[in-house]
Amino acid sequence: MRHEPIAAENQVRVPVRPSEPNRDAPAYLRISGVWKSFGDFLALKDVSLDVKEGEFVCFLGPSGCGKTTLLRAIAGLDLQTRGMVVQAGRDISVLPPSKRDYGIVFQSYALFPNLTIEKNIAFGLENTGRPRAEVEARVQELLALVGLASQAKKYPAQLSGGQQQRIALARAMAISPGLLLLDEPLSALDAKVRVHLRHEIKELQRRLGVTTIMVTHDQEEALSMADRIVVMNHGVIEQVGTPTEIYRHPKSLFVADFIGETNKIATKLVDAKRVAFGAGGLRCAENRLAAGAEVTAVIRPVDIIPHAAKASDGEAVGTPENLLEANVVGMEYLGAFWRVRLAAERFGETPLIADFSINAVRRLGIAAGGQMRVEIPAERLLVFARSA
Amino acid sequence: MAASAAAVLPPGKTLRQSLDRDDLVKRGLMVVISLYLLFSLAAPLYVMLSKSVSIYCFDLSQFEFQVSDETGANWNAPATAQALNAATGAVPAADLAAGSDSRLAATSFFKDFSFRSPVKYRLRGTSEQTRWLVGSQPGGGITWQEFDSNTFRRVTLRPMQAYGLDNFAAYFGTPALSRSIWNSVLMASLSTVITTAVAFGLAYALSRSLMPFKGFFRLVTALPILVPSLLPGIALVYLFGNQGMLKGLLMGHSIYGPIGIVVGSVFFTLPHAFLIISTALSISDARHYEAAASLRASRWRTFWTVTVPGARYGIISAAFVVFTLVITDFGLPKVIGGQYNMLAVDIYKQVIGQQNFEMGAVVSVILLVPAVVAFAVDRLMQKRQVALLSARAVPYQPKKNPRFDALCFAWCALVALFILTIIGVCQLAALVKLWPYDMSLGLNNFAFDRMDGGGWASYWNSIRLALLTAVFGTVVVFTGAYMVEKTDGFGAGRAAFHFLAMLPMAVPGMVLGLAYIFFFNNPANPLNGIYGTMAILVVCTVTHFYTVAHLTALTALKQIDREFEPVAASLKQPFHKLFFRVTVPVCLPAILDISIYLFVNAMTTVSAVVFLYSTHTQLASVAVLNMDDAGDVAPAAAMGMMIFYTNAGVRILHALFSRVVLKRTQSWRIR
Repeated sequence: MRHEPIAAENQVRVPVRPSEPNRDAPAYLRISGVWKSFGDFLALKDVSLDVKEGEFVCFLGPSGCGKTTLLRAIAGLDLQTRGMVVQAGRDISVLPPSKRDYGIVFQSYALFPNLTIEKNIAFGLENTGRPRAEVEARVQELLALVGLASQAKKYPAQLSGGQQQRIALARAMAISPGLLLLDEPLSALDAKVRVHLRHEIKELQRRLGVTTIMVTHDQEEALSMADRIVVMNHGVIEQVGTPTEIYRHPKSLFVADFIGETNKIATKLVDAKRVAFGAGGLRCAENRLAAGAEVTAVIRPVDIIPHAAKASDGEAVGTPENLLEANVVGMEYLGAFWRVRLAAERFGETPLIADFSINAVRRLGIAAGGQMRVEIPAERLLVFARSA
Repeated sequence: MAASAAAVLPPGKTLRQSLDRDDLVKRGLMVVISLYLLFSLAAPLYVMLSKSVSIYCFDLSQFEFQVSDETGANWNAPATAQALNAATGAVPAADLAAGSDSRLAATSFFKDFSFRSPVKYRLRGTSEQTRWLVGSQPGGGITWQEFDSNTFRRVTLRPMQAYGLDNFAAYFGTPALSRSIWNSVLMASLSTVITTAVAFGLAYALSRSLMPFKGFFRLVTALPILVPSLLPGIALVYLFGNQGMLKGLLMGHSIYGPIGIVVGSVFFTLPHAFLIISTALSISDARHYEAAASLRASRWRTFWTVTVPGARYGIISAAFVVFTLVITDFGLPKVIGGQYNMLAVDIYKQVIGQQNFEMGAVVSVILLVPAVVAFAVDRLMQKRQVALLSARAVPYQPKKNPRFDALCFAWCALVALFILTIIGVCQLAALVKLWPYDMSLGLNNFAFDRMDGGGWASYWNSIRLALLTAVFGTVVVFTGAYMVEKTDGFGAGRAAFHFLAMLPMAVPGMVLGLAYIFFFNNPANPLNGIYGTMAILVVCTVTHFYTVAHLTALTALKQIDREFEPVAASLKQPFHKLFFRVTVPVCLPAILDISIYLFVNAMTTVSAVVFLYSTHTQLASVAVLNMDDAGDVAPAAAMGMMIFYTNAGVRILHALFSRVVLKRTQSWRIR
């Protein structure tokens, strides 16, 4: 499930938004107190969420977390057991799918195999009282929008996966729905196409300004596409926030662990700003936990800063007391960066994992069996209460 | 977050989706088709079951009589029929056991009865259930009814109905009847072993060798499906009967009886077994053979450790299908069985020969048992076989091996010779003027109008039945399968419907036919009107062959993306648009398969319809039976061949149609 690591800092693609969606605008889609039970199993537990008009929201979580169940409740495909869904001021909680206002793209695309591309796109436009010429014009417009105008007469099976995906998107957008639902739309594609389509879908969404909800288990996909990410686990929302918030300021150990890679250190809080670590302590990010609490301290491999084995003049060290001596136990070349395993007496049993750029490794002469120093930036060392 | 651990669904009402028009239409359709299966299957079977435990007897204490003097004004003291019988001994106790149609004349209790006397009679029941007839007018109840003596002689008492296992006791107490169970099981078991072995050899040769003429052998193996099961019986009579060409080969044994039944059964069940086993063999994975070869396993060892285990569910499934087909078949043992009684024929004899409907129902219930067991086991096996399928399997490519290929070819040639001989003999019998005296060829055996059995009209009736069954059946079956597979909610209803759709497989044709008599030939049933019409034949035939058609449709529908319906709904398009523009066109090959299956079976079936045809709706397959019964064996063979020509022609048309039309409408399948 977990995707390959987001390596050095410059590789964490956290989109920079020129303007955050207006926080004061009324919600376009309001989900309140939604529960879903399958027999004794509770797939959704009291889920509430507001989605603003024009926003791109991702439901992210491991399989079985309830993200697809929530999407299907919004679509009216699997009705929630309790709770309310309001779209554009209209209570749609119990409406059948045909009475709701959304377009949907499934992982399988569900293109009608015996209809040509244009007939597929026109499917929702026929029988709506629109003149034929208008339907045709709209189909051409949509084909152009997804860049497949030349393929109009082909059948779905004659297109590549990525092309089929775009046709499914065009078909869903044909009726100009108020809400676009994407159910793992990219997971059936291979890696390269997936990265390319991420960008395209995002572009398209921004141009059309349609409120969009996408379900995905791929954190990279969510980070790169969403305005806001809804991280779910065991049927509850763990955290809602912008990609930066989710990545930088995870509110729970689950979120920190699920998004990106982490080193987890089981330890105790010495005071509000320090955790015990080996013989000494480490400064950590501020928190509201009581001193002495059992905690898990979390540091991402990419956040560990490499230093040469010997201090040099003019070396910039943010938190001198978090500078640790370490032995390089092993190194793994992962293409864009090196994954380095570090050990020291202070670390106890488990080695620290750090991701260093190729540059840094070369510059500092880091090699397996050698020694070095690493700095753990205090504001990046997050602590979470350890539950039994 | 910690809150989730103790989360409990808050009290309140579970939300229910409001329905749109599509949902209502779908539910309406489902109710209609469920009602169809309920009335064409469940209700008749229930009536038959209750019939098998119905016992009738005259309960004389139920009737009370009063007699007047000659003036008609003064009445004697009332007396029950029981008391009168005790005094006169008019009706012996043995005569009190009865059938549903038995009647007892009221006058038999009055020795000095004369219809001219002025004496009057009164009759009443001691309970509301007491029933009698005055002529054909029903009467009953506990109030006195008065009759003059002329009317009184037309009064007959009706037996009381009770429920119990007496019929079954009578059945098992009559060795001549209960021996049939053993006979049927023995015949079915023998045929199963032989057919499965032959079919496995055939399928193995065709899938694992590089022998020539594979297409031809596949074609020949499919031929027996096109003829009624009576036909091999007729061919065997010509070959080994009392004047048979090859009678000497039997060394004094008679073909009429077990030998004929087994040989004929192997003939007509072979295509079914072959189809199942060759499917099972064709999904075997080449990688297993490569692994076996790399471990230096011998061919023999590979056969037992890879081939057979890989196809075991297919083999078991084929065995059960053959067993069911043989034990429920009626046509073949009727023609060739001689004095060797089988269950299916017993039903016919009890009902048509002796008019003993209760006993017919008892035999039917007994015949249901092995059929239901075989059916259940088969379903279990089919499920497992599917689970073996792996998307990553690499198809096995046979390699050249002249000795093995020659062996395979010899085996296939032998089986093909057997099949072609049987059909060839029938063809010859149909054309020879008067076997064995005048061996010149002519068409006089095709002058069906000169024989009993319905003449050419029966042939055209069969065509009509087959066409109606194909059209009506395909619509019902496909719509029903669509409702089961592609609708949401209403889960219990869909499961019940699916069960009903699977049930016909386990119900032998004779049982279904008899159940139809009980259910539809009841004046109290509002559906009584279709009794004796073409409609009941169509309904019965569709129901009889429902399961295979249903499964074919279901398989095709399962291959269609589940998300089509949600997508269409999100596009605000009604389901019927999706159904006709996408679902039906995509399933067209399966729909054609279903219709051809129903057509061919409607042409060849005998068992269910033999109870249901009337003088206006005689059928070709039944005509074969009746002409054979009447000794017109050559015309019977000729009619059997007419069925064969028709089915073969329809098959060829189907193949052509598939090639032309499917090529045009299914171009989207080509990448």
